[in-house]
Amino acid sequence: MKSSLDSSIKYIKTDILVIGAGGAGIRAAIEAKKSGLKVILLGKEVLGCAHTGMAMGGINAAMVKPATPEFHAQITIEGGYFINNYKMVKIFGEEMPARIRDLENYGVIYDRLDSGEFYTWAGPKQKYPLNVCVGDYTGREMMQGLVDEARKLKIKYTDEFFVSKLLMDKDQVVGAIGINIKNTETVVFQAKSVILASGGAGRMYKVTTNAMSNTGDGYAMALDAGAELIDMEMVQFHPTGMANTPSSLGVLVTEKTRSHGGILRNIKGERFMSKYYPVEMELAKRDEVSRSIYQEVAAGLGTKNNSVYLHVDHWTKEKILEIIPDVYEQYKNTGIDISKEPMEIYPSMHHMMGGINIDEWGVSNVPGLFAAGEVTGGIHGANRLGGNSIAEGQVFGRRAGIAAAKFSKKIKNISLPKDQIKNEQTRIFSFINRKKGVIPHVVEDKLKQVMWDKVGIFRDEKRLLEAKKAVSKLKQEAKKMKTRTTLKERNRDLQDCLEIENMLITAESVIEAAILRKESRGAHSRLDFPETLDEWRKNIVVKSIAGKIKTEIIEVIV
Amino acid sequence: MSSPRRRGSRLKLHFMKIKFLIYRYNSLKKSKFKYDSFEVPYNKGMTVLDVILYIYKHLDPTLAFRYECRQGICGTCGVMLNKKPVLSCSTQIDSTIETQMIEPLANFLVEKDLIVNLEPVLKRYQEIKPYLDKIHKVIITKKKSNESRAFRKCIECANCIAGVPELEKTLKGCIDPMSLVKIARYVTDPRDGLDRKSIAKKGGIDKYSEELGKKLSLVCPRGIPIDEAIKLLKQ
Repeated sequence: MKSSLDSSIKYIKTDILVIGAGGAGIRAAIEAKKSGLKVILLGKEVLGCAHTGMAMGGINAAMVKPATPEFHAQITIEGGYFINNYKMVKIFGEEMPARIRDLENYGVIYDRLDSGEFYTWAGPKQKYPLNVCVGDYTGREMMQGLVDEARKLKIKYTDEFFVSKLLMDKDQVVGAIGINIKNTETVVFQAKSVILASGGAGRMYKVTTNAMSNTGDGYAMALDAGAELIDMEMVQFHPTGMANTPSSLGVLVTEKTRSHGGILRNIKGERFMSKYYPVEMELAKRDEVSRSIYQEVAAGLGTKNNSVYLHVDHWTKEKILEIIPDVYEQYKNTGIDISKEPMEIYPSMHHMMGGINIDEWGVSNVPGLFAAGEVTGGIHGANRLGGNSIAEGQVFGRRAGIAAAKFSKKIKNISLPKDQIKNEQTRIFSFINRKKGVIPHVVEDKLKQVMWDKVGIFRDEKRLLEAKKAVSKLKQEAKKMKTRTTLKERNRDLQDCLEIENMLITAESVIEAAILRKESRGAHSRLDFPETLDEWRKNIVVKSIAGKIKTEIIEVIV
Repeated sequence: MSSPRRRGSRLKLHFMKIKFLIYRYNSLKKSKFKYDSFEVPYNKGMTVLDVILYIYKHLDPTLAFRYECRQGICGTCGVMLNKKPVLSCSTQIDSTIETQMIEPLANFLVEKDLIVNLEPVLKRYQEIKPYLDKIHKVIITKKKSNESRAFRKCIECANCIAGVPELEKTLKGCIDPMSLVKIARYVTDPRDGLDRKSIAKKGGIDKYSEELGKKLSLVCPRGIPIDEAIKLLKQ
């Protein structure tokens, strides 16, 4: 069975390699392409199907007065509990309006008023509305615009390709290696710079809003390349994930629902948010609403599906179909008419606030490595405001594209590390070649349960330490994973093996940082340290030294 | 499986199995296509994707299929369920049908099992210039934005292409319905400056009948009125 699988390697040269074809990755590729350099865009999925397309409610930008870029920046910092990267946040607020215009030029048409003014709505903390939107499928239309623009510019895209490792020449990133999912062919990309835009890690949790591709590949590869991660303990749980059937467990119900008058009630019909946040009610911040729902259900006030109700059945059907047409469809597909009965919802793992520690140009601490989007950290601090995620990818995707092009132009000679290529190929194919071993999805299911039970909405030292132990054990098990087929064509088990290893490293980073932060702040709620402490207005950096995860506390970047 | 101790009626529901015939083919090995039969335990609310995942996880790890979002929005999980194109993540199984069939999208070359080769279709798609071009500066009002709104909902799942057997017969060589929707999307966008209707004319839009348009509208999982796109482009 060894034969051709191990030996043949295809080599491709480019100036800039973009890994990940969601909002941030495509935006980076568009900008990089303008430099005239060679750009290759890689995605695990068919072009256009990345997780960005699942964003529903909107995208934040100061498009309509009285909102201003300063206001946008200010609430982003407040929403992030003051540990955001202030420098990045300032630029973010300032540049978002121009990025909204870019997207319009790529084809996106945002919802309008009769006058031609943008239709905007207010999410949590938005005294002045910032969310521009396209129905409740803003992310999908945005993806379509980006894909259309990429087609217009004839950006070279490789579908369904899995990058498994960044390649280093001494301390510099000089490319990446991976496999074509269609036929397991090994391909090495030699690149003068690499932009990582590989998204989040939702799949390591049992319940998530995320697409199946979000397996923390970028965090794991960046750590391996010597990059620093920041704020990894900050994991956002969206308050409203679908909870009425196992098939759609965790699927997102947009915040736009609550912001337009959706009401949360427990099994007794009580509008329970009045107990927890009597002023903000349903529009408290995401971490706050998620904790409230958790507590209601924990107190036995949930439905038989361990969920609470979200009502829009007091709206007219016209309003429902105009404001949240996709939410209506999502429930209709499971046999629920939300114009007549309430939705069952429960918090669902939604977003990694943390990630690669970049500066305002998407530059990491590793030469040649740039990053943008959810795989990065800093912009959101301890809690992300709704509408800031797909927004952030546009600002820093563009910036990473510019910076990577500038860097690439200066690079003359690079050489590929033969030993790394050989070792990585051996690692990849060991999952196929070994005689017997553990079934990959068995490891994955255990990890999902551990993360959901012990590294969730509420945390404490005891459970975090248990999680640490469990994950460390799973890492050992994962080394023995074995694909159930040796087939080369579409070996999903092989992709699972590689993704599971990445999820385990990401999980470890989250757990280590969560153990270290002995306070509660934003999405990180410690039952044993419930107070938010001034002395903890700091960031935690995670890095990998000789294969071991190390943490460090640093000052907030202002 | 644990020994059944529950009451009769629940027991029956719990252990009800549905037989699924799954299309199998491997283009890289040029294998002969066949149908494999799998028995899958039925749960209320189960989707086509649940069936596929159950088979992959418990019965056959070589099964090839695509999925991403589980939300009906990424457009990657289209298959034929009992000869009709559906998004597998948003379509529940009808438990009254004893034997059911899951196949790759019709009118496509099959790459492997339930995965189709999108390349030829996307190559043709590129020819219609599927992007905003020769941009005019126009202020878009609610009214203007509503004109293209329905067509902008396309997620390129290609279910429409799979939904017309005519595509292989009377419409052979004609432009496909996914492209028509994209053209309609830009024709109704006041900013676009290309003569797109002539692309549709050249592509044989006149061969699309009104009934076919209506049929296509019913196939679209995003509820796009493809019949209106056809009407518009024929004008």
